[in-house]
Amino acid sequence: MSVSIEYIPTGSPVHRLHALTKLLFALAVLTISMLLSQPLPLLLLFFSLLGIAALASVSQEILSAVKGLLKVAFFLVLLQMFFYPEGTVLFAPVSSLPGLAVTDQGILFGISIALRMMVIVTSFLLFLTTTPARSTVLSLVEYLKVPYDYAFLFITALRFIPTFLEEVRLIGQAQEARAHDFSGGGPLARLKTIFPLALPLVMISLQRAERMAMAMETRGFGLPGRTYYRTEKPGAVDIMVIVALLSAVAVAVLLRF
Amino acid sequence: MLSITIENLTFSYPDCSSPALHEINLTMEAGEFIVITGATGAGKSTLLRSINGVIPHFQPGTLQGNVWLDGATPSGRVPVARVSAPQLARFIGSVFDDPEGQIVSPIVEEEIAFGLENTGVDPAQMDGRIAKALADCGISHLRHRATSSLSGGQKQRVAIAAALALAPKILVLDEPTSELDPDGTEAVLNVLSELNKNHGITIIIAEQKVTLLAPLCDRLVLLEKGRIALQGPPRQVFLHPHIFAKLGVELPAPARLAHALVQEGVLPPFDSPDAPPIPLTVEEAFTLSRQLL
Repeated sequence: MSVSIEYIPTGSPVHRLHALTKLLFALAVLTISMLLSQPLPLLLLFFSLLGIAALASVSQEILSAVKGLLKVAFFLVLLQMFFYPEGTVLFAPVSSLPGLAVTDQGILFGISIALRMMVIVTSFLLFLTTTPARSTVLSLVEYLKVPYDYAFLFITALRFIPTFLEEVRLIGQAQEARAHDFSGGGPLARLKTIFPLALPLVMISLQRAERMAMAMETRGFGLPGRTYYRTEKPGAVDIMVIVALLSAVAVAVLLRF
Repeated sequence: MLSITIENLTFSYPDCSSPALHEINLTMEAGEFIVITGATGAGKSTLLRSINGVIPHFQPGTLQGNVWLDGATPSGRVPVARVSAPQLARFIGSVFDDPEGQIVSPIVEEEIAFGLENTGVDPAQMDGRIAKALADCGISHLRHRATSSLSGGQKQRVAIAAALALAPKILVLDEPTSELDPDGTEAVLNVLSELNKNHGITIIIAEQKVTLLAPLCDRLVLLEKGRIALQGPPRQVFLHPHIFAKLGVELPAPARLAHALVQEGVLPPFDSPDAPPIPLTVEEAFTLSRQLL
């Protein structure tokens, strides 16, 4: 199972939407899926998500993730089937334990839960595959007033992932060249073998953090009145999508109560 | 015009008995290309760090004397120690030796924008300034690349462009080629030479690679245990091979050849009036040898 949660730049209309619009979309889908309890509407919602994935040209990644989710969904249905007591009993595998009886409503409830899980995960996958993390973070700074320092922390962490992986590889090779065995036996032994990798990595990172602070301040980091190179403003389409999303949530709430 | 005057500068790192810099007096004119060299531990980095404000803003220790920034304010000169490190970025651009540890952004253009954003440049001007900084460093084609995908030489040129975007008058570079291969080194040094010649930017660089820098620079400063052992234009400095030998700094091969020729009696001594200038490059050494044949 390969679940891609990376940004996939395809330049589709969905990609061009503002990060906050897409975040709101994921949250709206989450809310609506919580309000829906019947399998059919949830299934429709799920298929419309797949439609959006196709529009965003990320169907392949989403479908491969859905394939993985199906296994989890199957397990969820199975679990709910046996532990949902209400409804007409279809069959009871162990006659002395009436609690384990499989009911019609139990099956429906299980399917709903599984679908809801799939809808929520898929909607967030859609958000992540169509929105660069940087856009999300900067939107949070600009519109939701998250302090820039925290946002910067996050962006820099993203930037350092490839560097860390390269360093892990180099340190690993260096230690193996000195006859260190990383494949050691049980879980406890395995944990012990990690130390010769983790210690140099931590030391290098601390040193680098200090140099980085120096490099940042010599380029003006920390001055008041910071500006932003690329600010993304929500467009007319964003407003329309946001209005549509909010109305959909409102309708779902009204139908439910 | 921005020049630097160092007056009686003494600096000791904490828990160190002998000072890393001892009574340094040095003037660096606007538009000069200055190479600071010397053995490891001679104080090259310490000297640069006291110019770009890392000392005293980051590095604890005891500092005596002053590094003056002349012409930074209308009223005249200010000591570097009184200007905060981020403020200093507008006057002095800094490039460090570790290409990895000074790049903060995932994409090249964002890296160049970082300093502009910090110093509050109007976003409408940023595209132009990013394009110019990249073009001046000969790396316009890297603008949309991921910084993690660049080679060491490309990363260092991105770091130079990032410092340059803030339009400093002075670039201070601490062994920027120490982790680079020969191609990367050449590319970085060529960029520095261009910036110095075409844009009048003062270059202050600490380097071991004297052979490569001698033809590019105006002045060489040799440090020995925190003191200035020798300084002057390269042709003048190379007249003292014994000082190079004593300090453990390699005298470039063309100059060594010339000294050998003098010792053999083929060339007149360099202090005599009819002596040819000491060669800095292999080409100059070749021309000199050719004349002798």
